[in-house]
Amino acid sequence: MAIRTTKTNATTTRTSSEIDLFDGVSASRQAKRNAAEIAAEIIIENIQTDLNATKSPVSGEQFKRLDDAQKRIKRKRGEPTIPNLELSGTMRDQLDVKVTGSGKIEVGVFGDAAPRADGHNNLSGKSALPLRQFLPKEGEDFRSGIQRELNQVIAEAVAESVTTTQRLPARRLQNASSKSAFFDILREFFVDFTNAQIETAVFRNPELVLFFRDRNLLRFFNGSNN
Amino acid sequence: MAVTINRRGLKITIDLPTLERLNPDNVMNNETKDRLGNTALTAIKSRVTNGLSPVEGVPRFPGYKSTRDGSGYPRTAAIREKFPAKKTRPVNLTLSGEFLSLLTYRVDQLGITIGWFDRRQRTRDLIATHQEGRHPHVPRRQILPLDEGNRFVASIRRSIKNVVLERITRIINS
Repeated sequence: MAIRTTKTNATTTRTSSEIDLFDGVSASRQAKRNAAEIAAEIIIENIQTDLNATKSPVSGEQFKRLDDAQKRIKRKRGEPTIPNLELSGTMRDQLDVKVTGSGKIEVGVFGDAAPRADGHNNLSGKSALPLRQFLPKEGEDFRSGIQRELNQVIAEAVAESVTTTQRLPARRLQNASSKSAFFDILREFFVDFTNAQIETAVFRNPELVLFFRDRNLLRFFNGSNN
Repeated sequence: MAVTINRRGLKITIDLPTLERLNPDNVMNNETKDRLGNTALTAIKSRVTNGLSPVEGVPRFPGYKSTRDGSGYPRTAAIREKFPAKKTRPVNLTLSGEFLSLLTYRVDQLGITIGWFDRRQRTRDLIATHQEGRHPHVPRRQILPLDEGNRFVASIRRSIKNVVLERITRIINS
């Protein structure tokens, strides 16, 4: 799919994953920028939510329970004795996402708590702590629910682009002999997206709906009234 | 609007019935306004219950006092007795649940207004404390973008925008 973790960093001030949201997918610079801002919020919200629920936003699995010594420390501080990666709260306060380029983001812990984040994520390969991963390593994805949300955002960006900078091949689409042939042509733009994702993106774009309606092509979509 | 170019020239067809149906009153009918309100409230409350402000540029809600020294809110005897389920994390502005449940929307002529419409002193105090940050000992935890230059985070703006776009495409497609 379009989303790819291209690089990870583990320094004293930065433990992070760099993610390309548009790997192999074309979209306008503005559409990529808008999508990256939305994706950044979706990622931060999902990571914080999953950490509250003591599960990994990467694998989707529950974190290993705390041992008795760790529980004692957290109890003493008035913190819940669950592996939510909160003691002072600094590390999760420093969790952030930056839009670094056209359709590119960097998610991680930026500040003095970065080494603690590497302790949990082991991006450096040097941590001896139990893995409680919330940042994807190179080539890894977020759990499927987060990926689905992000893919929809990217599909909407592609839809925005095909109405502004690119041109859909009207004649080829009109000559499509079947629904699958029709969606295969659309997939030249919406690379690797499912029919449902393409359809949702189309029906959030009035210009595209007009384009398809004026050419009697809405019949290929499930949500169409035609 | 369809545009056709051939050897004889340029032909522009304007679809007047669709254009008429796309008037603002029809796009922003009461059903759309309700969908807008519900979508926005769901997104706002989802972030707040997870300790995040829905306002762009505002960091995660600051921790409670007890998370720093092991005493104080919400670990006081009174709170523990009355609300034993209240935890120190996440900082979600939820004790009895009343404050967030009172955050609602009203449909009006132009669109919707989101806010607290409850006039009781208790609610006004909570708004002053959390939304406006007027309590001397409690950090501000802003929920609505009411300051100049404020706006919702991009993901909430997208959810709201999609409600309107889906309404427009439904009209075009009807």
